[in-house]
Amino acid sequence: MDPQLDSVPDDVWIMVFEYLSSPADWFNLTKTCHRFSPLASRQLLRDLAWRRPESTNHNLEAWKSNPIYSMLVGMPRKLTIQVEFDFVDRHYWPYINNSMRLHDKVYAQVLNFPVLHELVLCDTVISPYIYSILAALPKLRSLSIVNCDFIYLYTSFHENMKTAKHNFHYNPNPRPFDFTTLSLTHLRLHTIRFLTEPPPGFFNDNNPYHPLHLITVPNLRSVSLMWTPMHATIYGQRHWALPSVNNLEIIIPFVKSDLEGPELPILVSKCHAKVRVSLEIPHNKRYGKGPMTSNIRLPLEGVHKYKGPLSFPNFGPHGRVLPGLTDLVMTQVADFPVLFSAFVKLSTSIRSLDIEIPQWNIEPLYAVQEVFPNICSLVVRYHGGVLPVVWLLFFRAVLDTIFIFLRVQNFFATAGAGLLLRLRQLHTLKLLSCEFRSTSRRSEINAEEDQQRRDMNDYFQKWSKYCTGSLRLVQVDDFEKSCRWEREFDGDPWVQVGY
Amino acid sequence: MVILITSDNVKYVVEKDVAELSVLVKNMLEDIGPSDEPIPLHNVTSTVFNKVLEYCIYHRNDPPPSDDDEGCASPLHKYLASHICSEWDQRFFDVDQALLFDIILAANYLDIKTLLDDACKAVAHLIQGKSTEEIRGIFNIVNDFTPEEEARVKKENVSS
Repeated sequence: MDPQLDSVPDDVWIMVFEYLSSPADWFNLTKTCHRFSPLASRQLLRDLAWRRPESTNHNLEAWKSNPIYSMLVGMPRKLTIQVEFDFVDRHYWPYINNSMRLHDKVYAQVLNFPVLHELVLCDTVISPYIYSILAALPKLRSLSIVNCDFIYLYTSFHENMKTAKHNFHYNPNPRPFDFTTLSLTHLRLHTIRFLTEPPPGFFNDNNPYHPLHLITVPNLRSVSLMWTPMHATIYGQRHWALPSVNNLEIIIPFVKSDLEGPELPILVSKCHAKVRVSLEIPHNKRYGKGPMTSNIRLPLEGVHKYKGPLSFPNFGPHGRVLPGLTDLVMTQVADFPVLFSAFVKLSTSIRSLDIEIPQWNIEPLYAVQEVFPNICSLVVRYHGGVLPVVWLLFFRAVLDTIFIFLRVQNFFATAGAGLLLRLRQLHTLKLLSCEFRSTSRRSEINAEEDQQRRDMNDYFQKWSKYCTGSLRLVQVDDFEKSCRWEREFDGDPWVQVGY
Repeated sequence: MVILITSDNVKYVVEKDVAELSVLVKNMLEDIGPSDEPIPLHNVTSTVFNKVLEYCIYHRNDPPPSDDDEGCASPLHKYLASHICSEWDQRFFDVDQALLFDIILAANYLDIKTLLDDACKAVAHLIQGKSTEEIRGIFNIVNDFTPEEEARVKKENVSS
């Protein structure tokens, strides 16, 4: 290395590397030379991910035998385990296979990370054995279990093998795990499948090791749950109090009449008195116009954010719209008449609205302006139409010769000018084409496009004189281009962020 | 006013608020108290100090840097934090690599956090998106890994 660069202290190089955000950059740095390798590794190790079995094995071996790694066990803050284990026989096993060995090595290594703050278990296998690992991580605050298979394994495979039991039901400590010993504050439980038979006398939906018991951790403040009939059954038997939970996200993968029971409202009522509830009902083709779903009511109070099909916002008592609802994301395409009939039922307290329309149409914007004058964030996704060109021309008009422009341009531009000026609290405006395809990378942008973008950027630098003071983010897409500008404070120049 | 002398014996008379952007100078001024004694800057040549002074004069009225930037989640804030946005700063750091690293070493020695931060961003910008070979080329790095070590580093890649 150049002697001058060699004299740059390590902590300065670390500062340089911290300004990079891509793991690919850090990885390339680790391969340059002996000096950079451990310095760049520090960044890579903050957010660790184990995915493929073979490379996970290599990495685990490095933690065990590489002296550089052994000095860095204090680095990992976040760990994602996304290893797909193959345990062959799900009930009995005569020997330890490679997958079992890897499973044991993974969790033995997890215990060596003393300051691990966040653990994500995704597309992998979980078991009661994991709970003892969690309990041994004093700094762990955030746990996500997403799309995992649950097995009844109470120790490592190696320990289990010593007993000559060789099956998943061997439990050396039959007392139920004490979840109150965990120090988690954030929990996400999404999609858990039960692969093995429960121990004799247990049922999957009524056993003390079910991951839903994790919601009893005393310091939990934020919980995100995939709410299923099994969860409703388990919670219905216990009605745990969650007094510290002030942020509750509920995702209902499919709304069925058996979820209309009192369990979910009781869960909400057992949380902190000022809990903010977010409800999501992922789009499903079966949520059509039929009576099956349209009659279902989810009597939930405290919902401030709803994301889902338009047929469900009326989930308040007696079908009324919830008064506390402020954020609404509609995940079904809706024509303007349907949209408008939904708008008028909603509270004027709506602050954030995300709608999807089949064709670009200015009418929903007029409706928003009339019904939600205090709106802060508006996203309109449209599947067809010619908005972007017109809208961009509108910007040009505002900045150049607005009065001449209004005479010569079409109706949409005129309406747009009036609309923006009236929504005084609008912070974010996104008009997004659902058919947007990013076709050009930065390096491939030709000179003409580049000039066009520079022109647009110039417009935005001046635009703050005309638009509302609260506006901070504008994004406009057409089929191939995405233009996005941001500014931090009123009066600041607009910054073009990305292409 | 404060008198500063660079390692090649060039004397600078600098306004106190500008000089005190350097924590090193500020601490020395506090230690020696009111005095006309010049303060020696052993590790900085006049060529580099001219640049440092130019930066400090331009940024003399900036708010002091905050230590809690890490907690700010705004995408715009992150973008601004990782990019040199001001045109003036972009022009300032548009220098050859040797001078850029001289500025870094001077900023580190003089303890001028904003200058060091911005210079580090400028170096990060040189690295961003580059392959291992390209990074070696930029910094004249000789590959000191044996083939076995190189293979091991690749294998140990933690993004597994």
